[in-house]
Amino acid sequence: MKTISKVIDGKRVIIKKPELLAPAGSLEKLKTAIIYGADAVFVGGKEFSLRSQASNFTLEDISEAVEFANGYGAHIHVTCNIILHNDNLEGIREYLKALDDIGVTAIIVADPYIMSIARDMKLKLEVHVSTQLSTLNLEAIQFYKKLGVDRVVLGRETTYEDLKEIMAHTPLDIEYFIHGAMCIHYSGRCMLSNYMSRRDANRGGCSQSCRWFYDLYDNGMKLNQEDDVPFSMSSKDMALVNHIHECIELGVDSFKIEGRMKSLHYIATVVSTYRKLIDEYCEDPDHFVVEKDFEKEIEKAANRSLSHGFFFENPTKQEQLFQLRDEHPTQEFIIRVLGYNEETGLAHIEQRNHFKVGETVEIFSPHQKNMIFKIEKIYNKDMEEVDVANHPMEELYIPLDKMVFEHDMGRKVKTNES
Amino acid sequence: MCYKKKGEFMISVVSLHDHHCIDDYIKCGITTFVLGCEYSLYHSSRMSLTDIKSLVESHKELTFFVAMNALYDQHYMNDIKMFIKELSLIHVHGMIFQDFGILNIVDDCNYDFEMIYHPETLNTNGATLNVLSEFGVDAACLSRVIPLVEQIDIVKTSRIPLMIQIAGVEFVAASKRHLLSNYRDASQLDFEIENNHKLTIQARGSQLRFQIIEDRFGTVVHTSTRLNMIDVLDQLTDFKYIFIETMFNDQEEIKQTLSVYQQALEALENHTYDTQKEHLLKTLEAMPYEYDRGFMFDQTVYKLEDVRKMENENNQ
Repeated sequence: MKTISKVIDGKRVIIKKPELLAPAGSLEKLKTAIIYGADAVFVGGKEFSLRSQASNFTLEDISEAVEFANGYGAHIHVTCNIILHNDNLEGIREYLKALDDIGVTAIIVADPYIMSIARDMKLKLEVHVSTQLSTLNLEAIQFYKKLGVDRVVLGRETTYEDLKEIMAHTPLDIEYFIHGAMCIHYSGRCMLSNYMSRRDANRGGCSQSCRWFYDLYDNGMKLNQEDDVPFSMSSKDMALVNHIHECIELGVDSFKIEGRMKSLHYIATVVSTYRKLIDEYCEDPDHFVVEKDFEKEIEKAANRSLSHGFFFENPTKQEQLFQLRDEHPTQEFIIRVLGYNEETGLAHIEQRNHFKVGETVEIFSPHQKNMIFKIEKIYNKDMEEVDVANHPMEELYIPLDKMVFEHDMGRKVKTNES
Repeated sequence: MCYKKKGEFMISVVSLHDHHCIDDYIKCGITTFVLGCEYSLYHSSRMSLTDIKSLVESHKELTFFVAMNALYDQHYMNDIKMFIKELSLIHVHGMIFQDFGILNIVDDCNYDFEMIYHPETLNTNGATLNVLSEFGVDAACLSRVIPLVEQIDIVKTSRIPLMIQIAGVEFVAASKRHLLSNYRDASQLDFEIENNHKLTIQARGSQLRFQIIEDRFGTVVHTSTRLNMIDVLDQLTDFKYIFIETMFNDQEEIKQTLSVYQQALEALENHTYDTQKEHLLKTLEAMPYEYDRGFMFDQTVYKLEDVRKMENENNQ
């Protein structure tokens, strides 16, 4: 059992702080995740990664990512979680060697063959068992220890009580999902997409057929009529923002945020929130209060309604989406801050979505609390005043009476007028 | 690598629907059965330990596997260890499993079971199976979503014997959630869930219908059509086991199916299969059930090279 906390100068502090592991589908998102406080970022390689549409990284990209991460003391994990077919076997050794040479901290693997190769090659990098293998118990973890891996990413179906038991006896590091989308079925063992749309879920082609509307029949008779809620297998997303402290006390080694295909705004918001939450708790766990602000902040980046997933018990209808797909738009990300001139009070920004004079913006930052401003004026690059920012990625200036920092972001605040 | 000695023949394995009917299946030539138990993820029947013991003891000439084929939460594991210990005392031949926790228990306790790894979707290459053979996996079922030509290719590279399903409904997905109960709560519709094998779902705009069941482990989805491999058995001779799933089948269908497949196997042994297979196919298709080919002659679109091609196009 690992020591989680220690009393220093009469105050208990957490000494085993968990890693905050964020997703990234591009170098820009990766850098943002690290700047906003991720201890590690997982990315997909071009060759052996599962999510085929997740803008996977070339070896050159991964090299740049490692270099950037090193500057912040952060780590890069690369997903090699494809379920290998006979015709995919070529080139794995060379690829793993290249990742090891680049200085990648870990590979996330779903195929025991890759685990075995990595072990035999005596690579420096760690091998982590992917959540695609749905590991839910200590006996399975013991099995992976025999295969020579370093960490197991638990299945999202693991409850708090089971996690507690696992953490008390695990011989390997444990990574636990704290935030993001959830498969309704066991990950990696679902063929619904293969049947419904001939797209292989285990090769990155999942069509999310589980979220479609279905009719239910009993002995051939349709049960749901026109006005009834259709049958669906759509899960709400998971957010353990109110229960992170319980997981920290168990000594979980890494907290994982899902979403390599999610937006820059999502990554910045979610990482920043969990970073602040973890830091606040670890600094003074006995006086920590879960503030509503954390939950509210997370909701600003939510694509769907949020739930606790399996944390407490088997999810009920409350943790599922019926009738509506409920993919509500997140708050609109409109500004990325490039710099701030203290003398002129002008923030140098990059436009990310349409906005105009008179609208209200909330600036959020890895460095300070959120601030809300009304946009009084907008200047273009030639310092000409404009009313509307409607050119994507255009560099602009806006006057702000409080200091902002490079990499801060702004989202549009919905008011009665807008 | 072909593991079989010349002259060895495929072994038909049948999931036992009702142990009171076992004599009917034996008459059809079946000697190897998969038994359901309280820890099976899905099975055509769930036998108590006492019933399993009684059946095994009274049919020592037969081979019995037990389906320990769920993914198990930590809180089940102590009970499961005890259950496996009991199975080891009653000479059950082996287990069908997909949770490596089961394999680890058997390995640590040095139980002498034939362990068949059946993760439904994950066994897609020979090299992985060869690695697993070093860790106690004795045989395996290949992924359901790869075409026959690829399966035959894997048989050639695998050092362990393989099983392939040839008949019956196919597993599609499993959830730990009680999806039918949740839906009943959300919709306020009134329908039976427990032991109801007549529930099906159909996506709007799709012709495919799936069987759906719920029990204490959650929800399992199966095809409603039955896999039909009657006319390609001659391509499967390198497989050690051929599996016939009897879930959702009534007794008459099971007997007819077993009979037709046993005729086909006899024809193979007698070298008359080529002349008989068309007749056997017609006999099977004349039965009042819907059949399909699974993914045997198809493959899903996202092959790795397709992804590479797609990305290259995007980069241009």
